[in-house]
Amino acid sequence: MSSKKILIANRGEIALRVIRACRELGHESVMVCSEADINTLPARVADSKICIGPAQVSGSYLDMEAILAAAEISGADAIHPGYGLLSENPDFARAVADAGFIFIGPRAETIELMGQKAEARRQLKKAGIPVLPGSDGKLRDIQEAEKVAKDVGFPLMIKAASGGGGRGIARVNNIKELREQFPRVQAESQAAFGSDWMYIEKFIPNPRHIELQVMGDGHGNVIHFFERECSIQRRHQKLLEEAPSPVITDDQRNSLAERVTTALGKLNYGNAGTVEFVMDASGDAHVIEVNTRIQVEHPVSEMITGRDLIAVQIQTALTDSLPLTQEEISYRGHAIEIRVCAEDPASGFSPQQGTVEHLVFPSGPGVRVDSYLESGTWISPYYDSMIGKIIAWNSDRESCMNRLQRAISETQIKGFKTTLPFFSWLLNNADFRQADFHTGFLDKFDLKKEINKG
Amino acid sequence: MSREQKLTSKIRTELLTALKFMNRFKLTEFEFEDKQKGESLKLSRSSQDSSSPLLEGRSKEIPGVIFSPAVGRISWKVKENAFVEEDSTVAEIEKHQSIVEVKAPISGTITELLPAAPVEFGEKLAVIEYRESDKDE
Repeated sequence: MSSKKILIANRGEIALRVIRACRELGHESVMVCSEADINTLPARVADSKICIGPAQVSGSYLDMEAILAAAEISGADAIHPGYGLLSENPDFARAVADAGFIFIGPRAETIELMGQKAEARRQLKKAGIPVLPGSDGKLRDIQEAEKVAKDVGFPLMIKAASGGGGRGIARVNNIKELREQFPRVQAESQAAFGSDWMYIEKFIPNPRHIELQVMGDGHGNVIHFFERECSIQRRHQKLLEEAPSPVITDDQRNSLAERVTTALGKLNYGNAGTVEFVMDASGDAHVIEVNTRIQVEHPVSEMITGRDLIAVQIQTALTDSLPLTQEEISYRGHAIEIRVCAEDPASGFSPQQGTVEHLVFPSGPGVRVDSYLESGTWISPYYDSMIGKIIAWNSDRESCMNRLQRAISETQIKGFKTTLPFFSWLLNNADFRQADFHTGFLDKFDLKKEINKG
Repeated sequence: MSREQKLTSKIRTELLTALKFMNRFKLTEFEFEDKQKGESLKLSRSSQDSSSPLLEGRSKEIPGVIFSPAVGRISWKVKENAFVEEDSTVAEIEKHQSIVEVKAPISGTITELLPAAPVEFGEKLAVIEYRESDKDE
């Protein structure tokens, strides 16, 4: 393939990750950056960089016109949106295509559909993916909600139709709580997402979060890269992810993958996607949503399959076809990723600010670090607190946990507090080591106390 | 109004004018000294700026220097050595499908001008040497 110019509309570790894939594929990378990011590692190692706005994301990384103007003046062929920011904004995907650039991600209509959670539920169900019992369409008011609640039964979840990231969501145990919580979540949804449409899903007690990584060519062919387990969460935010899931059997894995790839093929799904499931105690998985972007936790799938998912994304987008077949994808061993954040786990994960004074990242066999950090990096209040990811691979889960624990012990980040002590504690926890957990696992601990003890 | 009140009011007006002048040129301190008479006056204006250390030299405001307010293609409305009025449009930046106007922060003569080219946000576009009007000299 001839060399193309790829503009990266993101920052931090994922920007660096995309630059790395571009370089290995022989493509040129163009970084857009805010004023605050001009001297960061990704901006320096990209083939070129363009400052597009001030530190505030509204005037830079969320400013579509600025990004498109940068694409125009740099002569870019394609735009990679990374995750977060504009990655799942259908208007952006559409504007990119309309301006004549290739959007490295699903089509705008697909992003739009999957962003409307209630409608996505309906379509996925129709295409043959098991969804949770719940409302068939969107709910406008409490009267409609009460009617559905009677059929579904309590406890249940109220969710914002266009929500995500742990916001616009509440669990209710009875009709009284439903009447109290529905208007509150509706107002929160209106404020956060600009829509007060809601939907209802049955609540699965102590579920595990399982997700399947897929890649489609947009013409009916969809391949998968096996599943990830992301049950270690705090307030619906993932903290640690692993692949494969320690509890799924080969039969469950194959049947899930078969149903998902067939269904998404029917929807002509294009580029990267993640189908998220909740799995109940009996092992039945129900889809909760489809994320139309590459995800933070993609490295664990890369580590067990030996495939570069960002490269696959780029090749799929540029050639309009998948660069590999399902038969070419297999997995080996076990991988675990931890999200290292500038937060203090000993004081309720409060966000930290500061400058990196001293930095040593781990290395050695089977350890990978995806981070934009270096000595002198300023952790600003403008952006997400995640500063990087440490990923360990080994032949089985037990040895992988030991390797990750070893990697954490080698890591030195001075200048502010990080979530590393939390992971150190978690990797020593007996239940975690036996993979005996669910998405509410961390709720039963007083984390402040546990971490201060260590 | 008593003579004293009148005097206070006059001083107040003069000082406010001086502060306004400082504000226009983004000055935080102004010092006047007459060594022969042994008189001195010092004014300081507290700045609302809370720029981070990393932003220094980029969107730091320097009197008379125009930094690009947008990324895109610039087309100039004025030439080098031209006199421009404060707040007048000196250039337009084509930022994809929108047009961003570039205004002169002060009146004066354009002494430096970046030629028509793609520009980044925050890039130095022009320098204006302060003059009240194009008549005086």
